[in-house]
Amino acid sequence: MKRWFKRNAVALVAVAVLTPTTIAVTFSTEWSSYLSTRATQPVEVAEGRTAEFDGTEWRVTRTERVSSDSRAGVEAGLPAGSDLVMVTVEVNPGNATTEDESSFCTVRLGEYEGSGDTATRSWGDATFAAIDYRNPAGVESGCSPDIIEPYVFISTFVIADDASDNLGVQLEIPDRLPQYLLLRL
Amino acid sequence: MTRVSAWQRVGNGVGLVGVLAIAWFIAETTPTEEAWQGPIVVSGDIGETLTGRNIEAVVSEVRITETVTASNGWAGPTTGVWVVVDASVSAVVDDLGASLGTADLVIDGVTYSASERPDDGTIARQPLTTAIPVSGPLMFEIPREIVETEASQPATIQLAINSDPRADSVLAIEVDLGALPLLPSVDTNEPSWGAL
Amino acid sequence: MKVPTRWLVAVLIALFLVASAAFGGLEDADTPPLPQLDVGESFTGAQLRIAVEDAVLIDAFPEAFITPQPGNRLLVIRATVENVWDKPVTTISRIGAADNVRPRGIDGIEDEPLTVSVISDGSAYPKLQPAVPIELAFIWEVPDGAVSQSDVITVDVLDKTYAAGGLVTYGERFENPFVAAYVEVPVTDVGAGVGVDQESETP
Repeated sequence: MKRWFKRNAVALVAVAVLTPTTIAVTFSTEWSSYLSTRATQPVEVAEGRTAEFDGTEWRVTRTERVSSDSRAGVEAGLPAGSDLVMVTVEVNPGNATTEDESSFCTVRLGEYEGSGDTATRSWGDATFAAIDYRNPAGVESGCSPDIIEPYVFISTFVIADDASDNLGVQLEIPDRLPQYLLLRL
Repeated sequence: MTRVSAWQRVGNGVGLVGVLAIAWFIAETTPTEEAWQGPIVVSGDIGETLTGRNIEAVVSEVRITETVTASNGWAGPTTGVWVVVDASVSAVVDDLGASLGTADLVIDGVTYSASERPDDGTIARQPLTTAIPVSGPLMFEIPREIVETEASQPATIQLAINSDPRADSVLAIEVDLGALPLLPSVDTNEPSWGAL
Repeated sequence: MKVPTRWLVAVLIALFLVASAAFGGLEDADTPPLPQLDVGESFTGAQLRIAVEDAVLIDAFPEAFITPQPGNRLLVIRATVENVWDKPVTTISRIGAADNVRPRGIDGIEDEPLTVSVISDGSAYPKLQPAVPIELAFIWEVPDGAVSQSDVITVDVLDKTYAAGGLVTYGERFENPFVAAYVEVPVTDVGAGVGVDQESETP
């Protein structure tokens, strides 16, 4: 038995090295093209700080959370068992070189555990939700690519009222995937 | 060439048979495409809250009726009868693009889908929110013959987020249609959003 | 044992001819004639049972927001359709029941209908439930004058073939519609119409 191993040592080592390598290379080519189209690499921004992403500066200036039980919640027509979270973001488009556009983004609100950067639960934008809240006149509700001066938008989210305080805004810009901005609240 | 002894020939033969047997076994037990792409089923009864990966629901009531009138005024004429299922459904982790895409009633291997004729009077295909349920009726048109006898008629209500339920959770609620009376008419609740 | 190749080929050809004689020879087989249905008589296909009830010409269905272009009218083929499969069947074009009824040889009608609606409540593109017959309206837009009162039009009833699982497809479906029967239907012109597609009192 030992002699057989000795005689075939080179071949066995080659198999032991090449088999996992082949598997890894095959899987990685498939998975990397898939993962590059999804938001998997967060650029984290601590609470209150300014971030630079896609040539634009972003900063959360205010976060408000209104319960459906409160008077404001009842006026806003919030569904039972929910809270309304309003996040005010200052956007500074910076070097919008031509007359075209600043960044377009989609936002979601995620609930996190500890300092992890994968949301345990997430909610979409409430701009078209069946509630009575509307942003104050003139205030955008999300990214507006046709504004190239600094502006402010307020994103609203209707979330479950048992969501913890460990929340963050996931801001995705299609051209920058798989990177995305994670603004901690 | 060295001579091969008779015992070695027998050994080769046995080895070949063994390899063929193993190959046959593997071919027979390899999961079919339906099996490995199939949905992951979570079963339960009426009144039980069932939780899948990204869908959670509780069926509160099942009724069978000749005619149904929805909250938006739609009245459903049919040559069969209506099975009205009242349920509360929400997403669990992520509501991006989530809706009640599958709402089926399976009876004896035949699948019926929740009618969209009532429009916003039913929760079929309505968007779902993480942890904030949408509650309302689902209406299924089924042939009259199924409920004509008193015999037991087991059926399964299947709910899922996607209209293609492969490889994701399907909530399956068992109900005996034979044990339910045939009502002359039912008025259904307006679909509502929010915890019950 | 050695067999000369040319003999082998000749023997195989002879065997093939003998075998084909058993199935009627090598001529093209006659296709059986297309069955003609009476108005109201149903045809049972692989997926649907269809009975054409009548044909109506109408200006528009304003309450269902179905209004043709100026100069056109609507041809409505009313049919009772029953799903004889074991899963719900859609009525949209290219996949569902909209493919199974076609008026033949009418100016302006080549392909899919404008819409398929439920007669009793006007809902568009319903999903047909197994063994529950339902009255449907198949609606086409036609130029004014292409069809008139008392014209008898031919309506083709189509069937499809069942297919399941494939190299790149998953699941069961019915495809490749082909004409399986036809009906001769007289056309009634109801002008602006009064109650064809509204909530009816009778189920």
